Amino acid sequence: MILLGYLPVTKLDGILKSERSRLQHQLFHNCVKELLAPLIKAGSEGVEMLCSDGEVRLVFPILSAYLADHPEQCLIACCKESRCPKCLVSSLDRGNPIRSQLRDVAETLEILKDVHLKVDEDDNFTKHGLRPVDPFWKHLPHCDIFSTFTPDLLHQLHKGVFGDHVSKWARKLVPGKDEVDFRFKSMTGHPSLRHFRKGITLVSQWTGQEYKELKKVFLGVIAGAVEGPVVSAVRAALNFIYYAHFEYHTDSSLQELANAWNDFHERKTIFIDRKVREHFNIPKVHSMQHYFHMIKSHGTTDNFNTELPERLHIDIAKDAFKHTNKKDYIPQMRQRLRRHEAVRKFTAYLLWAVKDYVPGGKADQTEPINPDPDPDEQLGTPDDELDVHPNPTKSPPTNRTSLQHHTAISPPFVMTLADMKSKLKVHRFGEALERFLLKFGSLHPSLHHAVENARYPVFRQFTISIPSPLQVTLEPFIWDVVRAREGEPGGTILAKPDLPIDDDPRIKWWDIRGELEHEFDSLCGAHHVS
Amino acid sequence: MIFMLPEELGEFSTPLVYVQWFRNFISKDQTVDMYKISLSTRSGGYGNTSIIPITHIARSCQLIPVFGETMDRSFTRETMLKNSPAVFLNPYLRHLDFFLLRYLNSREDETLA
Repeated sequence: MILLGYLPVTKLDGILKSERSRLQHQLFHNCVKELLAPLIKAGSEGVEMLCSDGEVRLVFPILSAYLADHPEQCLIACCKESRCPKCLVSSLDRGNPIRSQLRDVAETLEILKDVHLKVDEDDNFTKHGLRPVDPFWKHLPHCDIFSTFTPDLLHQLHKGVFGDHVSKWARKLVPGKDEVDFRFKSMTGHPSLRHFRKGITLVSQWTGQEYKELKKVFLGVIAGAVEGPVVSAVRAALNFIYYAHFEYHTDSSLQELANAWNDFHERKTIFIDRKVREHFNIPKVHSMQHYFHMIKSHGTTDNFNTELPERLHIDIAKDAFKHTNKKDYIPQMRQRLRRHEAVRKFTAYLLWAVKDYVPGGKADQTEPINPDPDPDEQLGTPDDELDVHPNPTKSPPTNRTSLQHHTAISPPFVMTLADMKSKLKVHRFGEALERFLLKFGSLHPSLHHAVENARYPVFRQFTISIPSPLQVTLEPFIWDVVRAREGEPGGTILAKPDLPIDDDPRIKWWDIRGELEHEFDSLCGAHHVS
Repeated sequence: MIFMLPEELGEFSTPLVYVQWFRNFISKDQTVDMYKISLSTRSGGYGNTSIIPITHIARSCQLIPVFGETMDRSFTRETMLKNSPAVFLNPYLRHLDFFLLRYLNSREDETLA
């Protein structure tokens, strides 16, 4: 991503109020027109570009994706904010699952032509909900501006549909003021889950991250507290959001996305019936309608993540400004960015050209085994002897199709059966181990005695590297940390129930690893008795 | 508990895990569309526990207590799993879980139908 320019923000104080808004829009369009001017020639005549394989090709760059929020999209599309920037749905119908004609570039330009010269606004101008602007995209080659607006998971779904709307409607229907809070407080833990220790009513700053955490357990929280149809409506919205998140789609997963959308619209009326909502005429609810086709034409939604440009807003606008002397700051910001860019390029060159080059001269740090520690869980284990042990060494998995299990090289604790009883509150371990050893064919002459007196090397946690489905992430593996805990059930797991064990279990057991993937039928829930 | 078998009890290079079982995934709650399970017990009311090799474990998961209409306020986060009469297997924990418990599961249902 590179910075093309900063846009001026002005209140146009010296100008007639009635003209201000139109001119502000026109100012934006004129600026962007200037910025994108090189695209007109490049897009129609082509530019020779050096490709990563070393070949030079004639490339025709066009504007095909534009990441923007709803007001910005309307500004770009030259339509009113009460309308959809992509289609001609009426301003009252945005909550209904109806298909409307998509906006057309040629038709729109025709309507906008000389519009400010006309005395009366014509019919189509009003019907299309337009604003009188000379758009920057008028001369851009092959640019269907209305199809460039890409799905925005963070604002439209996480914060919008789920955070501001569906979850709030559902919460209003839970009887009892503190019921939801109690459920969040006593929610079972998992390393990938944030524990809302004080419930959620007191959370004052709701960011995208809080909403993402909320949606992980929300359905389980409201289940039972509200009637079935409400739960089902929320479930449909959640399913839509999770399918929209897929980083790889097939016809069948897109069909599931469409099904979830239909399902939501069929079930949403319960919120009107229960009087927590009067209508669904909300831009973000309508935006869901365009996901299916946008994913088909432009690829999966992770390509258009607005969290990245938002981050850039901090790096290249706020931080860059901070490093100036606040006087005539734009040239200073430009210079700073140019220097940063130069350093980045040269670093990339050094990494390519110099063997074992380490940027910044620091030694490479090994990747932490547990990228997502849950502070709650750490606090929950006051017992000194159960300190978190040092990272197990993690050799990069070589087999990319099977599960791999990792523990520390040396177990951090050694315990007797008595230790387990007193420290871990584990009482029936001995019996279970005897059963296991007998099944395994142990011919130990005094098994009971040996089990009672042995000293057991004990681990605190292990990590499973799970080959990742493409839909979840393009990273090859997901690291799944399972921790044992003291005096209480530890992490819950899905495991293969007891299998018949051969005479040489070591070989057999190491060989079954590959079979476990996605073989749901054969799995059982279990939890560690730690 | 995750442990190694001490040498005097036998030769075993794979770490072992002491687990308590839940019942099989048979019934789904239609409203939340999640598997509903409860702890498996042996005669005498003891938990059904066993020892399995670490390699039998496919992944972690989250089990959400079935809170019911109003939650039993005597339960705490720590005692929830033991005391809750039933739990839901949460498909929304991670996208990895959603993929298995919603997407693949719905594919399976379709094939069966």
